Amino acid sequence: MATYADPLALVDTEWVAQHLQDPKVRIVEVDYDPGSAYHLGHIPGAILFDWRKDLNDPVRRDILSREAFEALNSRAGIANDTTVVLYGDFRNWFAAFAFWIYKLYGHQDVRLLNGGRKKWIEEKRPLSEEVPAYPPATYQAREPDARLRAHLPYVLNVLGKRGVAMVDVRSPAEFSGEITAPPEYPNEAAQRGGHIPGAVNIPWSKALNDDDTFKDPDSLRQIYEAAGITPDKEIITYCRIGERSSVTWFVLRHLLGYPNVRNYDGSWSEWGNTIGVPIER
Amino acid sequence: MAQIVRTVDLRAGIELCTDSPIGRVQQALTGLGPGEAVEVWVKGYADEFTVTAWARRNGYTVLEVLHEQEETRIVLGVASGPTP
Repeated sequence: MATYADPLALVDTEWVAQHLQDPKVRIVEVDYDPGSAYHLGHIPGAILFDWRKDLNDPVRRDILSREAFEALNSRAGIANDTTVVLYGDFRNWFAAFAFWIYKLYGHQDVRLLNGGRKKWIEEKRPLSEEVPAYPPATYQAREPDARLRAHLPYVLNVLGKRGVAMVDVRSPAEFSGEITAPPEYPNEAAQRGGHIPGAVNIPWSKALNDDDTFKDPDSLRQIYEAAGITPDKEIITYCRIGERSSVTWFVLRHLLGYPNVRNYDGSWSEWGNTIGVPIER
Repeated sequence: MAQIVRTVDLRAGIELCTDSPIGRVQQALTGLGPGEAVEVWVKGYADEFTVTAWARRNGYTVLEVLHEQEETRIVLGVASGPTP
């Protein structure tokens, strides 16, 4: 059976269990809602990154700055040579987003826990409510790797071009424009529903098994190639706020080894609210 | 015995981004009075843990946890005293 293109990008629960005391490993839980996750019990020794507070700019709609990323890691006791293992709530959505940020800023060894928080708990592995503290570390980030990210002007510029394919990873109801966001999240709604012209709809969850682990490489390849998402193209993934699309970005780039994949984190909450951009339904 | 006044079914996967299962449980528990209960259906131990741990941490009482093969029925009520 084929192996993942970047097998070190994933660790399983047993590996994490064996490395709970490893000083070169830092386990990080990345949650959208820590009150329903981390604070109820987390992997022993794991620190918390609150996605909204820690990974986003506090004022602008943007990811955290390079300086803020350095400070975040420094406080967490993460050095440039630390193995960072990410997992979290909402089926690893926000952990995948954090993985993408780590790669954006050039961190070498970052891994995703296959199956996330859910699998750890399903296996009835130990949980702790203790919040650990680690000695601060020195951390230096690189300039963000622009090849991994797409902004709106870039997407507009490549729209319809040969050799570029867009993957809309949202639900079919979002893709068609029937809905733009659940009513509980009005700040993520858009003025218009639909999708970016030419995008194909491959919901992010198609890449996962029922236990939230990733499917095997052959199955993944079939899913994406059947829809024309092939490694010879430049691929842009998007969703609503960029975190489900991070999962697909991770799959294409790190599990299947596609060389040219960008995450458009502005996603539909930006596109669907922008005056004048084309929309398809 | 507490009377079930609302039911939350979390057994189906939630596709929509950022729709929190606990959010729906929390909504169902709002305004719950003494003698009333909310019934929550989940699938798998992870969701059972999350719902019961969250409920206890937020001042609710776990009145019942009943396993039916892969599914679990959880009944939540208010602790004695004002509703949180």
